[in-house]
Amino acid sequence: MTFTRFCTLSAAGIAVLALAFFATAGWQLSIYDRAQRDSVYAQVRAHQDQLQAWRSSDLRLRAKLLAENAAFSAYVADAIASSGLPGASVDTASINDLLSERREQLELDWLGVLDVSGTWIAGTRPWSSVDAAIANNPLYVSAHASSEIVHRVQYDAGRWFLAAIAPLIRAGVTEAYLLAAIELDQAFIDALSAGAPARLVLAMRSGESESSGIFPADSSFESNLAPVLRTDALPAGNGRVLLADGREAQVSPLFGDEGGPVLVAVIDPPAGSRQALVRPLIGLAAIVLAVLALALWVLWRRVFARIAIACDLLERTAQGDYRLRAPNWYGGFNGRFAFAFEAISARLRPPPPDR
Amino acid sequence: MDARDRAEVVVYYLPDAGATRPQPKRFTITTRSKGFDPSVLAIPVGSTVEFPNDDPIRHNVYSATPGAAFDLGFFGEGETREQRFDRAGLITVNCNVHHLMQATLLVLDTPHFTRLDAAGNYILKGLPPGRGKLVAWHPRATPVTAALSLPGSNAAIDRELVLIKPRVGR
Repeated sequence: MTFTRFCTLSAAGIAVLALAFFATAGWQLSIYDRAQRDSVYAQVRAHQDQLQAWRSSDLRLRAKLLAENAAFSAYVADAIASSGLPGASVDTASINDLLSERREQLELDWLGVLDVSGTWIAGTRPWSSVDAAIANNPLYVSAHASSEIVHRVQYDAGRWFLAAIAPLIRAGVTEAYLLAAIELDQAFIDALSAGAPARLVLAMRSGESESSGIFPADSSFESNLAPVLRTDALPAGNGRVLLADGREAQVSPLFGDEGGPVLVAVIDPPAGSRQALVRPLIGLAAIVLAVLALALWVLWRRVFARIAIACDLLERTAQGDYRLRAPNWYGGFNGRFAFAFEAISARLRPPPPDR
Repeated sequence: MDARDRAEVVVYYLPDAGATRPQPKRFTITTRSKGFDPSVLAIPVGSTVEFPNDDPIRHNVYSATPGAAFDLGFFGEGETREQRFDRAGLITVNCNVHHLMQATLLVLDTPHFTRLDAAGNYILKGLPPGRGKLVAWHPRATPVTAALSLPGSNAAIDRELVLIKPRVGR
């Protein structure tokens, strides 16, 4: 084996080993990344659940306080019942006025009243999805079916609300439904972001406006909307989607309605922790390759180089050059070879001429 | 006391021998701009108070005063409810949904009562001779009572009453 061939084969072997090493490392890194993202996602969800639990508990308390107030229920029921009189319509002015007053007193963002058939009667702001049949709204359907207070995240006219619907009962009969809601505003997103190691962005489905309109245009949340997602294929859970800027991101929908915008957490694995894993791997790979190269160099010097010398010696001896001497190799295979060669060479070497 | 407070002061006289039965009358307290107008009213016992609603929204008129409780229900703009008051005493009237609405009725078992004028003066005429109590009352002040002994003639007497409204807060 020539030195060149030995080097070529060695380099090929090292390359294959390096490839296998980095493939394994990459595979391990992807597992690590996935675990990191799952962990972050779990943290985001846990934090969101906790925040929403606090808020919904507070909302339900205030909504119940109002809905279970007999005078309030009777007032609303009476105002609705007035439409039963010939020529009379529902007294929405009275309901609206009272709702505005109660909204301020209870520090709620939205109060409204629906009749038992799910028709919007009055409110401190309109329910924009009126045309889309409130009767089919999951929140209303749930409240109607259970006759108890229910709550969920409700998207309406560019705003997210944590909304509760409670029955207004008079003399044991459900006369109407009260909608009470608090807005999931910048403060909520800030609180969510603060405890969640992920970026929160608004995922727009096709046909939605670029600006969410949810937060002030100069807010940090709105300014972070650059990578607005435009896709119809948002994952139901933790999944990867293409961002508007062409990057791929791991996103996890936090809340949102079908057909509307969805608030998602874009989960980037913490850069520091990945670097902390990659740097030792690269160092380890460099050390392994260096040791491998050293081992090959020693192998060449101690084995192949000496075999080449021995072969050269034998070839020249075979051609009749008996003056050759074995190298000063002592011990081991090399020493035994040198000793044996010297013995053979001594027998073959012609005697020195007589003086 | 400012002019608004003075306008709410009622001065009445209770003869020790008992007052003649006052003549019942009709009074009006209008619900307007989510308030009762007037918010303080002195009426003789047996009188009837009408509650017309001038607001574009529904109101309720009720009282939870023990012995004089009533609930006139909800009624809208242009509608009127009325209530007769047969027992003397202090009666608080509210709307059960608009919590800032409150009226105070002083139902008196004497025909001798009046309000202060803008300058804080009052005149009670035709008081019966003999002993009695003169009371100055304000809904947010401790009543001031003065014992009087009136001569039999139509003599005029001058009595000053000092009513102190408690200070609220600092």
